[in-house]
Amino acid sequence: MNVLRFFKEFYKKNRITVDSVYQREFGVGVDKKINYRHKAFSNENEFHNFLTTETPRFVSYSVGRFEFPWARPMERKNLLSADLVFDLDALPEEGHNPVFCTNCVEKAKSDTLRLVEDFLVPVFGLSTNDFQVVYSGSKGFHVHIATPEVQHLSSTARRLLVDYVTGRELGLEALLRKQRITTHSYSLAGPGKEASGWRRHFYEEVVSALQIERLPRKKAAYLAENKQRVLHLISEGNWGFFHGMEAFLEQELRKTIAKHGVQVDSPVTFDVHRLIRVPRTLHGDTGLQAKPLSLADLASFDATKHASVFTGKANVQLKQDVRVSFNGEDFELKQGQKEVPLSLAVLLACKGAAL
Amino acid sequence: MFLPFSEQAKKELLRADLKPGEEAVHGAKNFIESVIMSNAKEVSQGKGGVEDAATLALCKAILSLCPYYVLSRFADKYSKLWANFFSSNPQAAHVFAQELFPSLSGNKVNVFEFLKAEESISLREVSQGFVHLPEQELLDVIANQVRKKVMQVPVSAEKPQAIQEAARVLSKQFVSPLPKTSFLQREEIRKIRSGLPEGQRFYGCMKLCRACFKDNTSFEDAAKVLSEYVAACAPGSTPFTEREALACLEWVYRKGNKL
Repeated sequence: MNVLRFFKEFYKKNRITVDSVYQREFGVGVDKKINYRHKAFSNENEFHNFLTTETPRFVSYSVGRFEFPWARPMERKNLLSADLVFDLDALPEEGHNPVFCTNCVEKAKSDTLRLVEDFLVPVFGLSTNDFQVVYSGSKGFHVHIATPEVQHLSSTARRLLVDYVTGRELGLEALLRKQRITTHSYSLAGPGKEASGWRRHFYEEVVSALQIERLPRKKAAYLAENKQRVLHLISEGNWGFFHGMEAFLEQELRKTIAKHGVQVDSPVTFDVHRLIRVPRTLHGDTGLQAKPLSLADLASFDATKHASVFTGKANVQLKQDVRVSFNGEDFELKQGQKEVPLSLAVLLACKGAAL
Repeated sequence: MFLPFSEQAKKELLRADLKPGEEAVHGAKNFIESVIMSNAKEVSQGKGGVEDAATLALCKAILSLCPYYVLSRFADKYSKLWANFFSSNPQAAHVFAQELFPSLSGNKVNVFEFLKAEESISLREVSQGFVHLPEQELLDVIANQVRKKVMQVPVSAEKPQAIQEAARVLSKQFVSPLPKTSFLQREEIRKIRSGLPEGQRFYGCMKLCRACFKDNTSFEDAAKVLSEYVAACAPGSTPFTEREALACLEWVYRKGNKL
């Protein structure tokens, strides 16, 4: 099955628009995500003509805008500004379906919602109009932020932003500090009930984990008799009770990060020269569209239903048995000739499961 | 009054069009010495005039030719002097803070402006697009910004003889406390320097950066080592660029001994 024929038809019927197209570097892929980069188009017509004549399987563009997007090496492009982009992908877990994994999409979707609801809006103060969520066309999501205030953030600044979102740079030595009481003794000072952000999350996690059965015998005995006092001291930022319990605290910190952090593909965010899939184009590994979504749509988004662009049916020659959920239907297909929905046929062909 | 690294200082410096003579270079060299040896009692001699800005500019020119270690020691000590100055002069601190963060209002700074200054937000109180900075945290941030401004030394262009001489003297005077073993000469690092295949290039780069840092190689020299490394690496399907290598180097030198 020649999937590029369908891709070409799609691009002929659907004009893809790109913001500042003349300032973006493009990368295209034939048998992988990017075979060639440093391409540039002077206007949207040129880009449209390229898609309808050359029709690559993958089309990516730079998050940065350049004075000379075609120039090589990178330094000669002269970066003018760059959008801030988060790439959220789920790692395959047990039961992962290599043809199309709805579990992975669901996991990435919930991470994306958390990124928006726990970080972008309440922490970074962005409104829902300031960013655009785009389904990647495979198993993840991209969040594009193009507001003026992010355009000139350096790579280091973007890295710091990612550090906050992922919680990666958090360590006990930064959360707790030794406070000298007398010449020979010291206490531990840490976040109290007034703390916010990560410090607050850590405080809450530790307090909720303070169960007698999880503590060393001496500490447990002390806690059994003085629980209220210990809790009060911690809420005031006095963590002296945890002297010698670094392993326990470290464990709780890891749990805090796993619970509240959002795992994003960091280089995509901090590398201002990165290429990312052009929204509304087709993904060469699935034939699904990189679909921009509103927040309301995101919650109820079903990739195989809402990002499928081909209608009708097609006959495919399956090379192997395939089980896949597609557009609300469970398909159990045996090797050989089969008639399936066209979007599924394209997906199977892209995955190399069908001819 | 203005601070020697403020925008106003830069303007004044351009307007004054000072031509540094040997005496001024000597004065700047002495100033670096006194700061590193912690003899300096005040942050500046002229208390924030154009002379200070000129002295600092000369110091940075000299330091740009010194090993990274000397620059970093100077920056540490100099920022501490300013931290002391700011804690006893809250008004000056506020002026500088306002210049750094125009959005500063009360104790709140726009989070993106704060990030632009490359300050970590991981353990700060951030909400609704603002970083909340209690007085002491704000002073710490300012002191850190002073350090960063000092660390931004000009790219080495050809410097006058007097400056080169001052840098040579200082480089000899302040010897790195690190052991003299050369990490760059180690067998495994030499293998890395001869280039690595795709898939190993970044990790090789990281090891090389660490070796440069441990060897107390100046940033510029380390950049040259990395440039050779990038050229020696396999081009692969996507090239490993000098920019990526420099970003890695910058990160390693920024994190310094925390790694």
